Amino acid sequence: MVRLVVRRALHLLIVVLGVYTAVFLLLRLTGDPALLYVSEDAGAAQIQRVREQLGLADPLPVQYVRFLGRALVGDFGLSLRYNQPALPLVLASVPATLELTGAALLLAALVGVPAGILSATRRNSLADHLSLVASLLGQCIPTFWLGIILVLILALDFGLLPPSGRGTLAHLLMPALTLGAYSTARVARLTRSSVLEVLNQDFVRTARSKGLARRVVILRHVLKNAAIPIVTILGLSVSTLLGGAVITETIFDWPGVGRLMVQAVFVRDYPIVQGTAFLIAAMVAVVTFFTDTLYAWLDPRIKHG
Amino acid sequence: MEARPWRGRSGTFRRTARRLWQNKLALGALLMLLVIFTAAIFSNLIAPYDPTEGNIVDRLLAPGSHPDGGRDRLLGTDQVGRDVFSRLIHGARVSLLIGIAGTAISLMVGTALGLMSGFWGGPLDRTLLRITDIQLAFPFIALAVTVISVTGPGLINVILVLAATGWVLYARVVREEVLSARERAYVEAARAMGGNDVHIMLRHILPNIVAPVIVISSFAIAQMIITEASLSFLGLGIRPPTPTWGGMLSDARNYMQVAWWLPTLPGVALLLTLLAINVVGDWLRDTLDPTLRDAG
Repeated sequence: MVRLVVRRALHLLIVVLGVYTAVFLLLRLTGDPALLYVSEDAGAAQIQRVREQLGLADPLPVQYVRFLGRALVGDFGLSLRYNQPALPLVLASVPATLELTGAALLLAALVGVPAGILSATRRNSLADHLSLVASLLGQCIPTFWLGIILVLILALDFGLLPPSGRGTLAHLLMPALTLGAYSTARVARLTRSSVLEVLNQDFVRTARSKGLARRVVILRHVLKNAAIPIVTILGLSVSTLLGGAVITETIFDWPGVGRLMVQAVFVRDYPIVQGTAFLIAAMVAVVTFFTDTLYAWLDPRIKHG
Repeated sequence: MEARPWRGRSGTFRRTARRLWQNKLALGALLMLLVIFTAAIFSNLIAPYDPTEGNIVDRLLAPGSHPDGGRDRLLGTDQVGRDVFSRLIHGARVSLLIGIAGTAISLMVGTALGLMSGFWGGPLDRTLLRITDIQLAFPFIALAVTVISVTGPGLINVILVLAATGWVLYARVVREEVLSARERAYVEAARAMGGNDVHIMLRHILPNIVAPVIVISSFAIAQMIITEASLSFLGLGIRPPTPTWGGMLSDARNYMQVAWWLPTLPGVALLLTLLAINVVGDWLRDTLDPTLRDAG
């Protein structure tokens, strides 16, 4: 078990390093970053001077190692827009994103899972059909559209909730709903098929024939077995949620990593773009690591195998 | 019974057609897709107005308005007087074009890589796995935004970005299929008869991956359409004045309270398109390869 965790941790590090390398290459090979630091009418000599100053004239491998070294101590360069170190700025926006993503994930887990179970146990009933329709809609509604419509109806027309910003629970409600809709639908659908699959297996019929009450059967046997795919899908949802956060934060002016990234892209603030890309990848990698470990712990075959 | 026999292989086409007819929902979705597709192709003929020409006098008209001396504004006009209906139709063209182009490129690159990787294994396979692991870990949209930050927005760039992010899924699934197909008896037989690698890949393994690839493609198109819409919404996608549904929604944010149709209608268009694609995709998956149930 310990060996498994260590191996997963190594995997995590490789993934993070890979993302970092990819970002590095992307920014170096597609244009001259030195141009960002000079004014429009700078001469070639001046550009070359800036290039040397920034260390961009050195061979690529040297730059890479230096880049990596700096990153390890937390130096991602200066934000071009705010003229402050990039990494602290990015880190400052993480709590907001965690709050939003956490709320959305909670929604997916607390609404999606029970909905899926309900659907599976009352198959082909009205509840099941309604749930399926809702899931389909949830997966097909564009996140940004849902956000706009919610703002239009709840904030602008009826004035029930604030249209943007972060602060109270009222501020969190619409963004969390917007972000969580897709994942909730997905989780509901997958929970349903997962539970259905388990329900059809022999041991369930055995338990029923032994005379166990239906609820006991469900709670004890079915859920334990269906838990694994459910945990997996919840873990995978985090990646989707972080991606959706980029849009949701922009719509609701939520001060998180996603909004920071989009703003940075617009003003070509590459250190920030790098920092946010890296941080998002790191968050996903960490969550994947925990999900995998949890998965391994839940599945006895892996734990002892 | 049919009056005339189909010439398809073992009547698969006939069976599929009958299954489609029985599933009215999927049939309806397919018809809707055909409508959207037709609108996209013939947008120049169907759209009553030029989608990029705005008439300030006619700005912010509600759907169904009859401005003096003009035709019906079926779905209203936007903030600079452009006809919403015409823009929606042209937007369909952009969305479908990007969805299909992006998927086509992803498909070709991903399938080729997956085939080679699964068939030959070794360091190529290991490297591919690592790369796909890394890329799959990264949220689709965040990756697209990051790449766009360096390439800049624009039609070609968006298609390339979508292809660069989408190939991974194809590669993984194709590789899985190849790994399982590789061990089968007919492959051994083919080898014994002297077939070389490429021949075996193309003739024996490729037919097996057609079904999963079709299923993935349907969901891939949906994903590309919504990613493009998201990018355009953020202002990082297709540049104005080309009408895109995402761009229209972004513009609408400033006029939400005065013109309800502006933030609503493009979203409805997106929703209907995505619904139709997903329903057809689900049906395709159930028909062709139910084992992919959790892939979509």
